[in-house]
Amino acid sequence: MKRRSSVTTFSLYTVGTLYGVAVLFPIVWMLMLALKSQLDAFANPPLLIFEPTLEHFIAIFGDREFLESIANSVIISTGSVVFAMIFAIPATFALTILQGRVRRNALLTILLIRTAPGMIYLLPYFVVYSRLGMLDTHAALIIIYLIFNVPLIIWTLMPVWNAVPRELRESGMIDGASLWQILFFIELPLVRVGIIASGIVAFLFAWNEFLFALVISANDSVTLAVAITRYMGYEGTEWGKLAAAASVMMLPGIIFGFLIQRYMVSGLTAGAIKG
Amino acid sequence: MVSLVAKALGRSEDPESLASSRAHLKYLAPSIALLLVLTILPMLFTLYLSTSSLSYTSPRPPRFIGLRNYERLLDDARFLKSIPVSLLFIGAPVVVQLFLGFIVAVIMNERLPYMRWLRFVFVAPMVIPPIAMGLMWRILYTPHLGGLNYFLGLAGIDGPGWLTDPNWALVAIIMVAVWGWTPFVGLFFLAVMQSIPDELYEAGVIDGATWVQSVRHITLPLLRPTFAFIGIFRVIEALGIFPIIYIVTNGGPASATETVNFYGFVSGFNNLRVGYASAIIVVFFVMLFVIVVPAMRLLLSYIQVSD
Repeated sequence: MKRRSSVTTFSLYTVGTLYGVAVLFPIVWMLMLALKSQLDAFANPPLLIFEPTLEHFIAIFGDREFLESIANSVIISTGSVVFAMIFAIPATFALTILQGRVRRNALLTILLIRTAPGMIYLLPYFVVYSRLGMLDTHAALIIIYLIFNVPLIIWTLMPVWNAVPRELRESGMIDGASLWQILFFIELPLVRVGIIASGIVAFLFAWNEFLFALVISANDSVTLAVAITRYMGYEGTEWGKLAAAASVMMLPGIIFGFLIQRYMVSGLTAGAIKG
Repeated sequence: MVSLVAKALGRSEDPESLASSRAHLKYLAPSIALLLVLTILPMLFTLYLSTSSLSYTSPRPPRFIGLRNYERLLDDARFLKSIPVSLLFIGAPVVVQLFLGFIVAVIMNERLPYMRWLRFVFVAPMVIPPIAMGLMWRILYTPHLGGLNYFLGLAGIDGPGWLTDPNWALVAIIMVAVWGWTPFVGLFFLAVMQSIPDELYEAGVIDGATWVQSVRHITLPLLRPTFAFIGIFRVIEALGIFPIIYIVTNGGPASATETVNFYGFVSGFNNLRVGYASAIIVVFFVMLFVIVVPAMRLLLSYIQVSD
């Protein structure tokens, strides 16, 4: 390994620690705000030590609309993952074998759609959904999230599936198995870790999505991301509740995110760094 | 076991016949068809809407007005101002993310004893929803509540009015983008760094290279393609900061932090001028296309080369 002088080591610790503090500061500050009483929140100078209170958490969990928004987010996120999987799994299966122009064009299409900002589809979906009477339904958002989650799953799953030896499929065909049988009974069990990881990535996308949820969902299907902003009302912002609600919203990401950290970049790195 | 079976059975068949097998196409086709239907149709519909006078506040039925919406855009100062703002929000955060991301990756790549813990801290923003990210910073920037200026004051710096001064509001948004997406860049760099063989560094040590020299003359040159790759990727995704703008500044003060897509949103959903907003979105799409498609081809060529 590289030779490091003690000065270098010291600098690395210093810079690393400073950066770590800069990363943690906004997170910790918000968590503290969630635990401060209204009076303490606006204390000047800001209070670093205070008597924590759960009043804001108790308040939001007593708020029917907030609880319903969590349920809506779970339904919509889960629904979009399940339907996206139905499309994305066979597609990834095919992409591990296909080559040449078909593969290239398919990948380009998927990548373009995966990265295009949702804003370019927003108005037409709003207009069409309002004509169909589909505004503010779970299905409306589930359908839209397919646009992002099908590519996201394919992209995350592909490096995992590429590691399955191709000979497996050939030998399956020689033994007379159909492609469906090979997909379901031979290869799918081998990539189940990838399925779980990509499912989590897609779930978190839908859970975090804000733009479409803001426009398409209003009352019956309002998601957590949008419900939170309702605490920034016209009569003044309820900062404590806002901070508490945002802390709750962060939980799935924190719980699942660290588990699948590797896969969140692997979709790109696996292709990019080999060779 | 699996690979043994495969090796025992697989070699004799001609792999070419399977690789070009048309049978696989029907597994791919539904996804591609679904994606095209869900995206191309709305885009065409946007194009159509952009030539109509559709407005939910107007009592008159919408009619075809040709390119009138586009002509109005040319005189709309608020729209014209949103273009440089978009470019700033695409360019500035990416440069800082690349710089900081590289430093973070170098630190993570050193096997320092408490690095395992620090690494969890470094990547934390990756798992935080953008809306929560925006909120955290909105809190920090708010006088008294956030205390950012209080702490700057302790360091002898007179903190600006982050959300009230138009120029500082731009900086405020860029800072959130840097905070939020540097970890992704850093983790990406780290993955590439870890693929650099140790022998290269050992050879450097034999030649008497110091730590700084080995980072500069071994790590950095090997990462040059990665800079391009991740830079392009971030540029493409840079306009996804809508929730950040919405929460932190809501486009203000006085529309100073409005990007083209944000202004499109405001026209469509606050002012309810759907036809006009569609024209803005079409212009936004053209802008995106000019930047993204060449970038995407480049991006894909990196991936293609290696697999």
